[in-house]
Amino acid sequence: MRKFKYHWVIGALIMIISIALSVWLFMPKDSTKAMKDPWASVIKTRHHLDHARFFTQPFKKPQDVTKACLQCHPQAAKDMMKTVHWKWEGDPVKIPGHKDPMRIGKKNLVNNFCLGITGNWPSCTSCHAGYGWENSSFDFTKEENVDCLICHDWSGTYAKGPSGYPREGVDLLASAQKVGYPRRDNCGICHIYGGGGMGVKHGDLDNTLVNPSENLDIHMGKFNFLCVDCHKTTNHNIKGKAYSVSVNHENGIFCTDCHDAVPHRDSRINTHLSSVACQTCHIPLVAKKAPTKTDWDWSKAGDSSRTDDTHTYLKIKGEFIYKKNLRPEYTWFNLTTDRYILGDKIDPSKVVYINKPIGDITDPTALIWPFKIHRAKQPYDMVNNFLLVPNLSGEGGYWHDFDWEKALQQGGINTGMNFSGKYGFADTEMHWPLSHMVAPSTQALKCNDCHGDHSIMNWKELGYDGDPEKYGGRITNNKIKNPEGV
Amino acid sequence: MRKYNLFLSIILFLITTQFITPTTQTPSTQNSDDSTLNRTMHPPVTWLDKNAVEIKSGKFDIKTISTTMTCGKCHDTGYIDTHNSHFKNGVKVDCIDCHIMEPPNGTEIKDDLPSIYLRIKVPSPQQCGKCHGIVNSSTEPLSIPDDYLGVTQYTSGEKLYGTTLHTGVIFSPQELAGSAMNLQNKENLHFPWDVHSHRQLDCIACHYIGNDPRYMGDIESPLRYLKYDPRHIKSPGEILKRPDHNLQVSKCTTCHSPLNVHNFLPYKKKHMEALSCQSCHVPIIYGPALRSVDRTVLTLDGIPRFEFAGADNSLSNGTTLNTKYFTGYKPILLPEKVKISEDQEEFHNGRYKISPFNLVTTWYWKSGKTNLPVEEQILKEIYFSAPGQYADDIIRIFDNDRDGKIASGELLLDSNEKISFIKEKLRQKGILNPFIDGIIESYPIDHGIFEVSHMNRTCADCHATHSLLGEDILLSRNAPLGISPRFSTDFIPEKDGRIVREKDGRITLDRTEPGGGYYILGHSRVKWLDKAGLWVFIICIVAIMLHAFLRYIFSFKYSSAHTQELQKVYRYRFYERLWHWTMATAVLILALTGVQIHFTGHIAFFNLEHAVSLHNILAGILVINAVLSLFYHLVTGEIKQFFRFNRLFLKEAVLQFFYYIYGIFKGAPHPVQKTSERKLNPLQQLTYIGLLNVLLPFQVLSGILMWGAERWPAITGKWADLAYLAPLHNLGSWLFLCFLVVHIYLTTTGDTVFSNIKAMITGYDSASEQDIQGDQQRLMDMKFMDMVGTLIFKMVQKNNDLSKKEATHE
Repeated sequence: MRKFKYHWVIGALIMIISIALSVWLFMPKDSTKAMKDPWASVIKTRHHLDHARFFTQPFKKPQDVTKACLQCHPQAAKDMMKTVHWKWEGDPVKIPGHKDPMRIGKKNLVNNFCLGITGNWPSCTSCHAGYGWENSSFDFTKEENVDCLICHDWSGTYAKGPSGYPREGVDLLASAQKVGYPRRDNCGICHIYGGGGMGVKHGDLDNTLVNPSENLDIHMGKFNFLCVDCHKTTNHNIKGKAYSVSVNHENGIFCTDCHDAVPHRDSRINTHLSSVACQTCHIPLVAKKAPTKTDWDWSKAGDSSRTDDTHTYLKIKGEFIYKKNLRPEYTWFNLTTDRYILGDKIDPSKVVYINKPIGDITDPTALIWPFKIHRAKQPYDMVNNFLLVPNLSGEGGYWHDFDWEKALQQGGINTGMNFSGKYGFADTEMHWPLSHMVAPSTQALKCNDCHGDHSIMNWKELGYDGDPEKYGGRITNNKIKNPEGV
Repeated sequence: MRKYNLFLSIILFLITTQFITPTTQTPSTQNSDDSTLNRTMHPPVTWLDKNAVEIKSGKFDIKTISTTMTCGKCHDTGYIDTHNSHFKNGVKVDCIDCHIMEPPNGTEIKDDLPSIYLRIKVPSPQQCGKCHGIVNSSTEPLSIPDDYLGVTQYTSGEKLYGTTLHTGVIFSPQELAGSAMNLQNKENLHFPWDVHSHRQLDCIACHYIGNDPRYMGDIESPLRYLKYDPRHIKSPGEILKRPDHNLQVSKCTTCHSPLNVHNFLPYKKKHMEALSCQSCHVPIIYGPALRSVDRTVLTLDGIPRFEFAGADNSLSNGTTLNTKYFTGYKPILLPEKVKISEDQEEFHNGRYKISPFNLVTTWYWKSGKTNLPVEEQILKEIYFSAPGQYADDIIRIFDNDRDGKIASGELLLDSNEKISFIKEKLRQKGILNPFIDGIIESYPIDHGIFEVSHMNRTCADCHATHSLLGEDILLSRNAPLGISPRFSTDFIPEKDGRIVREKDGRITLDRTEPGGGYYILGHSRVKWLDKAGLWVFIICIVAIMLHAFLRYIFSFKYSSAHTQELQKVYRYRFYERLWHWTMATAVLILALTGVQIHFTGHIAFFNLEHAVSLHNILAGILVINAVLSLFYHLVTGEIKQFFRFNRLFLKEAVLQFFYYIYGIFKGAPHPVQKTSERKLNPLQQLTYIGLLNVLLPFQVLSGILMWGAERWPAITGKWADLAYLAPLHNLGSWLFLCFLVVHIYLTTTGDTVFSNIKAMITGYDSASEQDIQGDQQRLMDMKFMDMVGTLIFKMVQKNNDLSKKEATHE
């Protein structure tokens, strides 16, 4: 038998393997732990089908567009109608101070902007993803009343008016032909202009985010994120929670959905993670390009001697303060809030919190969070001591007659509240936790922004003995209470 | 120990508060919510003037307060004055200067002078910055003060920016990108001016009082077994009464343990021995540091001509410094003698330590009589007819282009005419024998520490041909004619290098090595050795090429001398081939990486860090391989192959030699038969004995010593210094390279060009075991001298034959 001729290959392999192995073993390695790849959970590409060829005939009514959509997407309206974007109320939740779980949402809550939708349906529901919510008798079961275009229109010409109907002159065919997945401007129509104007409510959401720069928001600016990249959507159920209408973080989004839980190379920064939310450092300022409303005094409304100006005074709405490059306010927050429900008693001598964040220094689940706080003076019943929702628009409304008593009377009827006839204006605060306008890391807060002589934190107010750099944090000082009481 | 410190300071705090509270009344103002007011721990004081009268009314003037009377009530001001680094050598800084922030001078005092007005506190960085340099811990963007250059005079009591002026360091937690200065690449400079400032350390954290109980560990305890002796602290009251104001300078190692980190550094300890921390941690300084000051002339603003390090100096002095374009300068790394006391305490045992400096060159007019600089007022009188207006004769002399103005380029004593003119003027002002003197002063850099994540130091910054440690230093762009500056008497680092005046008028410090006896791998080279090594290598290559060329030419003439079908024999066993090729690969990679490490900056196959690691790993493989193969040769007896000496050895060696220089061209057969018992010819035997017994052990040993210098400094440190180990290792590698090329070339001298290489791969060699030809046998039978003679004769004769033949052809 002939001897195997190529046994030298084995030798070559032994040599290569032994050299490679020892190089691999002894070569100094980068000791930094591999971080979670944030891109792993980002949808890289989206498919878009040009719908132009499906629609050729003009539509008579907006509902006809919806019907046309449903021919191919029969499940769409059914799914959509299960969501808060349609119902404007959530699943029953437990509210602190209230015995039974209750369904809350835009539908029945009071805020300190335009106060509440009850009785003011036509103007408020122009942001409802449906058609025809004019009064309390709106039929929530009619599929054809779902407004597909508001979220899917790419023509940029679609706009909604009273009761959610398209404004006059909107070319339904043009919009229908150009539909696609929701882009930033689609979500923005309501979420940017909510509260009756651009940047009124959130502070971290305004029109500048439609085409943002890297400095304004790193995700949307540098990487061109769409809202739905983080607010991931399945069957029309959009992930994310707004604390103006929610009290907990169910179905919410976390930075750590994409980012590593221990994301910094410097361990000193990582020790902050037990007490500081990502947003606190990474959103050093909001309303960076356009101002946001921080104060709203309803009691000054109705003065026709003053000139109207969107940013300072409107006769129908009262006096405002808008602020640009707003430094957030910081407080403990465990991702649940208290919530003022219509009828709750207030102490008018104190500030009334509409949605006070729950948590303090002793709460191990609470972190220091940045908030935009909106402060308002809004009507309340001086006898019964509860907040009132006036009737604003329409016949007999305040914007019509400038008569608070009449407006509140009518509002009381709409909301089923017993208005005593005596009203005053209570100081209220509404907290808006901030998660957008994430700055590039170079602009994040640095040590000396919070520690030292020029701190932006009020440490005493947060419950510390002083600057934790000198006095120690809540862990070293044993300030955290064990929730189990063990 | 740190725990003790903390514990003690807490106790100290408690005791002092206990001690103070009963005797004092809290002023009502302290109840206010102003949290800043609560920051002072000092009890209220009654402010007294020098006659011990309480200051109650009138316009407030801080100078009326007598510290001896006021502070001296509780503190031993006499002791403090005599134990005070700020109260000697002409410096007179009193309590108020450092402990009271911004006294409201000029305000009307109503009832009394509340202590709130004059808050007594520990000195803040701003307080220190009043004299020492630019300090900014406020939220206002950092800018260069307007009086930055106006205060460089000898006047005392004025603000001085010494540290910043001389080194450019700025003590501020702010980011460079957020400053009001015009910095190169500013938008990317997202790191603070000084990390310690950014981490909220103030000046006194490192410059603490001499008897601060927290740092008593630094002072030697009389009890040798104690590093920290709490009995040093007599009582807290003692320290408050007699604080030793000789401010200490803590070392980086007081707080940091550099050896616990820096794991990326090869030769970690060696680096720490050779370099101060700042050498790496202050890679660049963007602050306005002086490079040279020409005090022989005055600009229109009445100040000397300044040149800044790391700045665009084309702008005249008149422009504000905040708009000047600063590119930043790299501190100059110079060796500094290490104090012996420090030696004992720290881990290094070198005589020198490389530290960063800024060198500032200053030209003065000096009086020949007193040897002191001429007062600036006298120069002003010479240069100006009125403030902001040059004297006519000055314009006449200096205005080279006759445009009636003195441009910044013209304001320079660059001709004998100008110099003698000013000299004459000075004589008229009563200065005897005025002359120009140039002095180079050194300023160590201790602050301005970089954010580590923004440091981009690489090995090649120092370990390369163009090294930070060997680059020429620009001392000044312009200089008065003919004056060469000299090192000042208190010049701290070693004065090595040559001061050179370039053709374009620049003054540079020419240096090739850092001095201090360092050998910097990749940068330092023994030039003659490199040259010799290279020449030997080139000679080898040339000789081989010539040999190969001749073989090629003659192959046409004497082709296929023996073409019989050769039998194959299994000659090289599996392990023999394995160890050979492992050795070959290791040596090849070692050569490549070695060349790169030695010639960093010229040749790069890998990145330098990887090259160093690869070199070390492959060296390890080579050593293990050599040991294993030695074992193999010993147990199999194959080692005999190298030591087959018989009485014919010399003759055979000569025959082999003549074969290589003559017979091979003729296609003559190998004179010494290769058999499985005897694989090596006599010349190979000699070469391998030398290679494996001398060169390889030499190279391995020198390499291990270089590698071990870090690991076992006790063993290697004393008698194996890099300064001569490295050149020796380098010599060895040149020889190895020579062997390598010759060895590879000689493999082609088998039956065919590749037959030997093939044999070493497959193990099968052609068996050319024919009998030694009669001719050869006859030679072997001769006496040695006769044999050599015959060989030479044959060679010469044949060559003549050849040339004759060629001649007839033509």
